[in-house]
Amino acid sequence: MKAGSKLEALLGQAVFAVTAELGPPKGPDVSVVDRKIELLRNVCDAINVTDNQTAIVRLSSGATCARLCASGVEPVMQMTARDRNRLAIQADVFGAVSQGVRNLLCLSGDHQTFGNHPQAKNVYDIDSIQMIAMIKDMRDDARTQSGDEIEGEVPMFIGGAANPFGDPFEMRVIRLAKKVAAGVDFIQTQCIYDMPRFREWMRRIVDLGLHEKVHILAGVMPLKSAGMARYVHSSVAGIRIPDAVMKRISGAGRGKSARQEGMRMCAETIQELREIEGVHGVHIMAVEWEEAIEPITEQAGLLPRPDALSTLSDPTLGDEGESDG
Amino acid sequence: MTQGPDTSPMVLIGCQRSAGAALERLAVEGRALPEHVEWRSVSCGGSIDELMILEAFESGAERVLVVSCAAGACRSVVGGERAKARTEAARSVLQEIGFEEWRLRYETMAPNMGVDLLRWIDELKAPAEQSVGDA
Amino acid sequence: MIVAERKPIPEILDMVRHAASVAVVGCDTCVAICMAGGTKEVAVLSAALRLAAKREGREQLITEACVERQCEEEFNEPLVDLLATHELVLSMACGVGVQTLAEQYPSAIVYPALNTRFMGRPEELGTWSERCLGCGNCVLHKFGGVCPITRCSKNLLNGPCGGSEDGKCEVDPDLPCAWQLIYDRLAAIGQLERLWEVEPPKDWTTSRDGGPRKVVREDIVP
Repeated sequence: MKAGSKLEALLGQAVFAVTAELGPPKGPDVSVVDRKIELLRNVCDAINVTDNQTAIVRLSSGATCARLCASGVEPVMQMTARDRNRLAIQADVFGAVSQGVRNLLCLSGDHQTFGNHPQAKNVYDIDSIQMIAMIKDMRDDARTQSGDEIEGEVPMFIGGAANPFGDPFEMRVIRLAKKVAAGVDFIQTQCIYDMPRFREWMRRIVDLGLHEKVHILAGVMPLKSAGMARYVHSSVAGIRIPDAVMKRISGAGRGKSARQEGMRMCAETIQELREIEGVHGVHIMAVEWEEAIEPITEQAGLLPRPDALSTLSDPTLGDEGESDG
Repeated sequence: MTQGPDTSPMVLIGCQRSAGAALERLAVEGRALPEHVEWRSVSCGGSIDELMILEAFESGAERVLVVSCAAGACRSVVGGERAKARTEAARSVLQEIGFEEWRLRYETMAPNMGVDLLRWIDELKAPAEQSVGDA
Repeated sequence: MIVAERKPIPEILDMVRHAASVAVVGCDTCVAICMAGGTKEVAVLSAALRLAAKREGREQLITEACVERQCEEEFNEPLVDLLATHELVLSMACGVGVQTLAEQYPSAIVYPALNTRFMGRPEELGTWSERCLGCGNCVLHKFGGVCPITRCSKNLLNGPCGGSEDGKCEVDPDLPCAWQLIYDRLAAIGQLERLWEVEPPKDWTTSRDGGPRKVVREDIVP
């Protein structure tokens, strides 16, 4: 194994993996993190921790992931290129490994004009593909991007994002191929509502044999209400909701009945995704609705998860105990 | 509260074919521009620019009326539209230095609209105050 | 060309209000072409400043001037008397011109009337858009003549990001996605295979990140 992470192990054993998302609080209040950990502990294999998502300042992904490791659950640390140059990224990767993090999702990052500090200078020193290649070299060659030797090891299972619904469509497949060439181990896609388009994208991926080189986890996001569906459709870049889906959630009424329909639709989507060749898992993004993960995974027949998540990946992995020098 | 006539200095900038021709017809009828209005003529509205308008204010005008042929009636085709655009550019500069919007007005006309021209001149003054209490 | 726009007049007034005399000096090269600081714009701003002074009951001498190119000292030489006799110089040149005047006449107080925006081109009358941010190592040959450093909001070299939709950038619906443009251009010239190359991290030392830059032609320096 490259990193020794639980996610890596399960995917390697051809288990249909489940990851879920945890959004850190807008401040240092770790009780929020602790509460969310307990909601997700037994219903997924690894937990993505977002990194100043939508360019809104939150508790850092690194610190939050350390909290997860200490609580005995496995994080997938998300890292954007927007806020950090290559020095900070590499330093944060060292930091993550030292705290027990073994999965890293490399992202370009939402532009800061979307967030609460639009006047900030953005970084984007490197892009997500360059980040993937850089971390691969850190892991496999024990060298920094500058070519210097690394003190210790960087066992990291490297992830990337993919959006099968963005434009230009032709480029979406090329971009995934480039991430694979750069060394990505797993991919989490943008959330899927347009099944035909996703199937088309997967068909091309499979045609190129890419599904054998990278584990693809299909992204899903349960809709809470018709209002949320409309918001997501019009305001979130890269997501389109087809009329049929919009109709279904709109017809479900409001409040609890809408939420239940949303969760049901999500579970059905997951079941459909399991049948598609090349899809090795699902990534559930229940934004500020972590409570929904359990009913969704239950309905989709994904529980119980193969291992209790309280098995911590060994934080000493990679520390070969070199004497100084 | 009614307002009396405003006789503070005004400049009328207009093209020969619209305002110029109208003023000639008015003269034949024995009517003239009020004394406080200075007439500055250009051959075509297209040559009106913001500098001309600012200079009118600089020379002492408190109000400026810009007149040209209507879009579609300009002999140079786009002169009227240009006059309008340049007037708005001047208005924008004037607003940045605190001049009230009403002090600059733009109108289009034909030579037979002399009566309208005189009325616009008359109307170019500060908006009337609202009466308070019982009407 | 360098594209600039005039600062809001209230901001300019705050800078010059206190001065008894102001020399307004324009430039007839880039900023004249983008209609921000040429002879005509000098005349309009000067008229506005005079009108403002009158309105505020202030005495202020405003003198107008314009030079061919304010970034070259030889063109600024005739200004020496004007600068000596006016309390303040309001330059309507780009940032380079303003600084050249200030360096050339160290005892003059030179203030900028414009905000210098970018290096770009006119798209249609009255609209200019950015094309080059001077990264110092041009790679336009790799991207069909479309610069991803300047025109991609995230300066991705292996784009697009997930936010490209209908050929538009997620940051601004009026902004074309640079990577859509690159894709279309490479398709048109038969170089789509370039998109498969993984572009390594950029060496930013040639850009402003490496510090203020200088170009020296050893063969020309006396």
